[in-house]
Amino acid sequence: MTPAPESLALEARGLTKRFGSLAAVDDATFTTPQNTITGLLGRNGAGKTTLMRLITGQEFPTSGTVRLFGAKPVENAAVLQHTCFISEAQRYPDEFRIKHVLAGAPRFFANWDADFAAQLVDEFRLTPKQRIKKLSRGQRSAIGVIVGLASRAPLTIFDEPYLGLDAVARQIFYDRLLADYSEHPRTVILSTHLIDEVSQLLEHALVIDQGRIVIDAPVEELRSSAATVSGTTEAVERFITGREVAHREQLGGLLSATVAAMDDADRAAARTAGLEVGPVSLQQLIVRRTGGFTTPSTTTYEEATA
Amino acid sequence: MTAFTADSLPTTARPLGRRISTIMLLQLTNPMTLIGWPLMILGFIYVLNLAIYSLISTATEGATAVGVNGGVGFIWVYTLVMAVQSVNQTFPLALGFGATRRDYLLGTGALFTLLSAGYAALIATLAMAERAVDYWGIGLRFFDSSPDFSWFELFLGTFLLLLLFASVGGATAAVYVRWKASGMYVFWAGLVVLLVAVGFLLTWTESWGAVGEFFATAGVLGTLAWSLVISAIAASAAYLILRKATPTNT
Repeated sequence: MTPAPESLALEARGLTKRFGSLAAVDDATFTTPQNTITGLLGRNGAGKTTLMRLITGQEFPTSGTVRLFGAKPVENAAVLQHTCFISEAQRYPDEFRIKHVLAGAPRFFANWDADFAAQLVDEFRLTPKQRIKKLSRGQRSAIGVIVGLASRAPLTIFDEPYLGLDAVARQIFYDRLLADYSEHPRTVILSTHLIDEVSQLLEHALVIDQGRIVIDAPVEELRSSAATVSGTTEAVERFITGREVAHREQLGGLLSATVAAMDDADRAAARTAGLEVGPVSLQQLIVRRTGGFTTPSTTTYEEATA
Repeated sequence: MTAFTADSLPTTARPLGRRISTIMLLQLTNPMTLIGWPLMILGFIYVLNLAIYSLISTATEGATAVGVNGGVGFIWVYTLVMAVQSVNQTFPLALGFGATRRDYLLGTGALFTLLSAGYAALIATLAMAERAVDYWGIGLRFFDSSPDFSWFELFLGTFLLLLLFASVGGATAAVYVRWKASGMYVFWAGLVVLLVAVGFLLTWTESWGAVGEFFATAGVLGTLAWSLVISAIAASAAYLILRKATPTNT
């Protein structure tokens, strides 16, 4: 196996998975560089889980290819040993207690950190003796988070890891992920629809809708591509004429509009016109791109970033 | 700290033996499931039988029961249950932990072969112990199903039987893991149709006598040796079915 060009963790080309007439993943082509945190974002049933299962060789592609660290993942022990994919609905053997998961997992992961795992168990207020079957939804999610973090697998995939987790536990997850990631860089894929909550973590966004990759861009680039302009209705209307407006909010005589494509010159022009230019939340942007458009004047992503 | 680049990531898999033992140890992580509980239940059944046989022996003033007790058959059936549960419950987890289906199947096959051998050795040894104490003088032939057999014959017979139950259990679980409930309907319906067809065929061709003769000629060990064919078919089926299975955690 030769090293992948540019140290790619993932490379998908025309990756497609059909279940009968439904294309759960439809012609997905993208790359993920190593040592980044990528958000796999999309609505329920958009194809997130199927895509992650394709990446880890758990699902067989109908057509197209996916390469993991330069090689096909299906039944490939050499690359799968570098992966950890805890499903959102991960089942554990009936008689497993937390300590059994912590005892069984390390043999699979070369970089497993037992102290880190023990620390996380404490922080999520769990005890090793608890039976997994008796845990709540959120506590079971916490087990997945603990295994995913402590595995330090070169490709760690979290499939909606926060399900049932309370706000404090979610914050612990985000904090620990970020801290541990900076100390032990690795490729992390996080599927979620709590976009704003994780947007600070994400370096790259991969948005999937109805099986198709609709956005594949660095989060910074996405954020800077659009902006909110607000001011008096008249001034805003004048500014947005002829521009792609993703969203508008009228409040009395004030109008706030989300403009899809805003480069530096546009921003300067808006300020000169006495308008306030603000950031757009990643969530808002993605909602607009995945079926939530409220105005007819929409734009395709390609146009927006062109 | 350690940065993973394509160059620094090991590009060869861990040795096969290591991968197989990892799968075996995952299923033994809680030793109660495959070793603790079955031994405790077997012990419980034994003690219960001991009490009942003592009672009968006392009541009948020393007249001993004759024939095999059959309680040891629990471990045969329980081996099937263990194989079903183990495959159903650990396959999705092992794949999430980055194991390949092939490694999982090899590891599980090795584990159940070892477990079968271990249980067979234990039962053959306990049968010898029963003989040594003359079935406690109350005719409790619990482990010693065939008093004519040597330790090795008892071990071999039990081992073959346990292999059969384990592989049939593994194949059944494989059908469930891959096709879920609909797979089970087809599987059981198919099995019933197959058995009826075989019965019909034997009756039609008036071959029942030949079948009886086959078992009589083959003897217990010979018949069990032939069961290896069924075990091999079931184990291969489990392998082929799971090679294409996509675990769904439901």
